[in-house]
Amino acid sequence: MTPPPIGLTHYLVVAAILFCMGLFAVITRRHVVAVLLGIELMLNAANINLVAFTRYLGAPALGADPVLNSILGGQVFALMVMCLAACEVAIGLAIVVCLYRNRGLTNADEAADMKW
Amino acid sequence: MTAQDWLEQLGFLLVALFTLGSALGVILARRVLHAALWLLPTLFGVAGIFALMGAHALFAMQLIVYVGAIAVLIVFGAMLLEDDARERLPRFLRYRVPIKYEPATRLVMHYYSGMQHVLAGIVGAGMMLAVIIAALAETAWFHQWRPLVTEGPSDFVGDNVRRIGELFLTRYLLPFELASIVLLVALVGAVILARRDADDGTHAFSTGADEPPAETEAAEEAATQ
Repeated sequence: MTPPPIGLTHYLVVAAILFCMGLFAVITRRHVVAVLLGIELMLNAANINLVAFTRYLGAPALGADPVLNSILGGQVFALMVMCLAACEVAIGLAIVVCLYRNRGLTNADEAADMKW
Repeated sequence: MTAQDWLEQLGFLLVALFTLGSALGVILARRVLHAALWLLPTLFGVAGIFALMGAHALFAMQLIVYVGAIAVLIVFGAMLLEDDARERLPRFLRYRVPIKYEPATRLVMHYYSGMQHVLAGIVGAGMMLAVIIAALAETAWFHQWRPLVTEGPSDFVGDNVRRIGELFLTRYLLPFELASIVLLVALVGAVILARRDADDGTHAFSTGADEPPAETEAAEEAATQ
């Protein structure tokens, strides 16, 4: 008995597990940086999905003109996700540092007031 | 099943287990700094997965942007913040060793504290392994079993970076430019949020009433990176 060849499903399962781990971290953890870490895990899972779909489902549906047709569109989107993740982390950490300096809070549950 | 198929299975299994195992470290580590450090091998593993799928540009960007910038930034952030909320795991995950196993536990912990650097070495070597597997997968030595283009037209081995560059400058030019604007705005915003004015020591959103501990230079640097 031989295992099935590595295909789309393998990568999707890995990405799904990674996403659920990230979701778990976002929901259960209280430290704001830990929540950010969970978000990073989820973004990475989404990236794996994008690349997997590009790799295994990309070309046949799209026809001629290999350069202009977005055979690698999913990978381009994954790069965009990385770019936005960088922005998100920079802004998020700046807000967190600000919150900590002003209020001494690192606990997301305690930072529930919009005005103080 | 050829040798190449087995190699692919083995590579996938190794990289997937490495990624998910270190992701487990991210969500279960009690100290935030440890969780942030566990994120590094996770991101390396995801880079390995990209490489297995032939996404070379993404593999490189994952290492440069995620591992080199984002993860390091988060580690800095975790160091700047007080780690008071030493996280308690949810109740159903908390496990107390029964008292009769206490000596055994202590023995394990004794060896564990001595073995910590060994563990760190294993994790570091695993990250290196992910990179080496990715590099090996593209060598001529490997491809004597596996022709360069095997499974349909989406498998442009070795051509990936050039194609992505072309797509960014033709079809996806507008998102590309928008991304640069978003990055600029985000970085300026981060600097403004995290800075402290030189004269009176206040900063954005400060009420001026309570002045917190001074550790701002490092924060600024971390935010501007």
